[in-house]
Amino acid sequence: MAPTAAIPWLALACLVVATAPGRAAPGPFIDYLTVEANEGGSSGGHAALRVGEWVHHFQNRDGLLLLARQTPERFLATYALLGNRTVRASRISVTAQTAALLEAHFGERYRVQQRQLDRRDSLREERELLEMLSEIERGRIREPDALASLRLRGAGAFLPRSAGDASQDPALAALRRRVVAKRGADFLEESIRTLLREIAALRPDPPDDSGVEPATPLRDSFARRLRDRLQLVVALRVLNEALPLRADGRFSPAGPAWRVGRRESRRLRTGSRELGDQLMRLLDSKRPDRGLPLLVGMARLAALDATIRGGRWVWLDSFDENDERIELARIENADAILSGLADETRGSLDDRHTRFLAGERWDEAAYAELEAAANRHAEVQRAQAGASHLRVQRFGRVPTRSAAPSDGALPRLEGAALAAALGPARAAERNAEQRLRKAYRYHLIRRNCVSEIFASLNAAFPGGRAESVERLGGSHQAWGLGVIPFVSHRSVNRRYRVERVIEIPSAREARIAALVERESHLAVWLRESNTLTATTYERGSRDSQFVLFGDGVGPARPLVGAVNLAAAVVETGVGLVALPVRGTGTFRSGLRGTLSSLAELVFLNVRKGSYDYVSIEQRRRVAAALGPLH
Amino acid sequence: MRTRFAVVPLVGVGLSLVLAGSTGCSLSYSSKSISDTASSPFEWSSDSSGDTVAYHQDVRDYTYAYVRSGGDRSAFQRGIGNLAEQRGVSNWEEDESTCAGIGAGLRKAALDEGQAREFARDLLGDGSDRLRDVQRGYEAGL
Repeated sequence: MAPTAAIPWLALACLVVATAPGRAAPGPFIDYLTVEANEGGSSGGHAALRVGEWVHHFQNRDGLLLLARQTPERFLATYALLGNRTVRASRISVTAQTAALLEAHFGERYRVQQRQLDRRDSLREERELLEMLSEIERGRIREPDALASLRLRGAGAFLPRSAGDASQDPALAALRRRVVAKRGADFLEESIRTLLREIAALRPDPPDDSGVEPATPLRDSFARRLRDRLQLVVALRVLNEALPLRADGRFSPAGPAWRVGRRESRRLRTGSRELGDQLMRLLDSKRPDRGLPLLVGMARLAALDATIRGGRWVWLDSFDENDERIELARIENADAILSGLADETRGSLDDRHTRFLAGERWDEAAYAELEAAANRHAEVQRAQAGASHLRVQRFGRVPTRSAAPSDGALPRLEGAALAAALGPARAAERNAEQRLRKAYRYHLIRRNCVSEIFASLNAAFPGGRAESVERLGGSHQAWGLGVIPFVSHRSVNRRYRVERVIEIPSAREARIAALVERESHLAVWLRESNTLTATTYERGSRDSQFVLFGDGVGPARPLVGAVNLAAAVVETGVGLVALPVRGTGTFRSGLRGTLSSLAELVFLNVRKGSYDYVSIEQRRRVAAALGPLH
Repeated sequence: MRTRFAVVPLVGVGLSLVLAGSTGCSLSYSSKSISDTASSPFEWSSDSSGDTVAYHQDVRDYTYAYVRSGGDRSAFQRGIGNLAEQRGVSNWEEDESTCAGIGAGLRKAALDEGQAREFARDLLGDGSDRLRDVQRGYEAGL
């Protein structure tokens, strides 16, 4: 089945299972969402709460149960479509005030958590920097080598400079002339000298060893002040020397679609002029971290100028060295998937292109979307042309490829000062980690995705649990069997002010339902019940080996489990034999499959398979099926 | 015989616990899927108006929290920079949405108009064109 094949989702995706008599006035509502079990992550199922714009859910990441938030569309794409799990939403009627209190509670909890994680990262950077300075002071590392080990975001568009290349970028040379005309010939060099003096004089503050509460003041750090200054030194050097973009940091795809028309060219000239003006103002900004936007802005200015001069789009390569790579050999049906992706990314590129051209002034967000869409489409085209992998952007849409600074300096600290700073810095980092572990430690029974939602539902209101019951109509005891998602789903439907339950079928269920409309039920059931003849399933790259699907087989599930167990044992055996060749992947997949099949022997259904690809169209349809909260 | 039947659900619960214990509440697909190729990691929905609303709220709430707690201005600027970067904006001082979000945050933090103006001037500089976006965000409120 082609991945882009139309599926009558609208008819299938929304099954109103139960409708309780409720108030006549619609909304606002909140949704308590439960996700069915499946092999892989959250194999016992998952739970989430949709409030306002976001779906909030608690995820176990390396033993920490952290609050995550996603749009309903992305949540359903992850769990119902890619994860192939049925999702059930219990829609609870609330007042506008209750919805606002819940939104504020989850928003604040998320912000505090992010600050705590950021604090830990900041303390780690601080300790690593002090250790590096200490090594330099003891003569174990030379300062140039230490500098060369640093990675400064944004610098990779220009650095390292290719050996023997003395050329200048014409757009940056023009920008430099503007700077010289306005601020004098020595402005850039003098600014660099000032920054280097500031760097040499930087001193660490006592580490911030307090916990993070909502009212804890924001604090900057020694390591971040240093990084800001180094980044700014690089940016000013790039401008002063009008360095050209690195050849591997930009690309200009072939083909008529990438030519620049007259209207585009006019728009780009205006945009380029406005961007230049913005960069001039940025030089006067008080932002401590203005080095990064200067580097990104100059790189984009150079790319725009090359586009205008050459009459063909030139894009910055916005992929980073840390971006994930998907090996296409792992993906079944990769050609069909790439074809679907090419259509999607082309559509997205056209859409962004139209939006960018329609703007009257330079809009960085609109250009960034266009740039990212061009990168994604070109990446898919490269894969179609034979590349072995696809890169997937891990971070944001700003091209921030990093590189070591070409020169610079590091703070000069005496050995005693370093020793005095290093001990407390290590202790502060350790304490921050311990505080995080204490605050967010995951526990299968006591603190998990279900228990934290119900704890939050009580904590969100000044009157605690009693007020929660009053506002929501009931409460759920999230302990014992109550922490199992499907148990909590039933409990919420019984006790809370649930207006209705919406069932979003898994991707496979929806595909089968579509087939049943055209073919006989028995024929579809026979064909689709196993992975060998199914047309609605291609083995997902994360799935272990299995033969029979466990859903819809009722009392025959132990039999299904026995067959799947045999397949999983074979996979485990093959994995064991092939350990030296294939590594542990097949072996671990087999073990996971064995465990899941054992569960099927006692009527649990956790073998549903998953998908590697869902189209944007499917994502939109499934989100529409859940509908708005008002 | 009865004992044997009673064992089945117990084994089921036990296996559920083993399964859930090994991967409980973890992100289903922590590594990227090929589908992610089609969209940016921070493209929160295929409808970009949803992104704009969410971004505005994030900037508003971050500003509100900063005004309430205080602290280093540079850390606040860096925090706004991190949020803006997820939206594709590196130079947020020139971005209308960001500046309007800051204005809304100042209103949420109950600063009066004079205090909000002073905060914005100190942040963006006296001559910035974006001061009017802060004002617009402040007047529009939440």
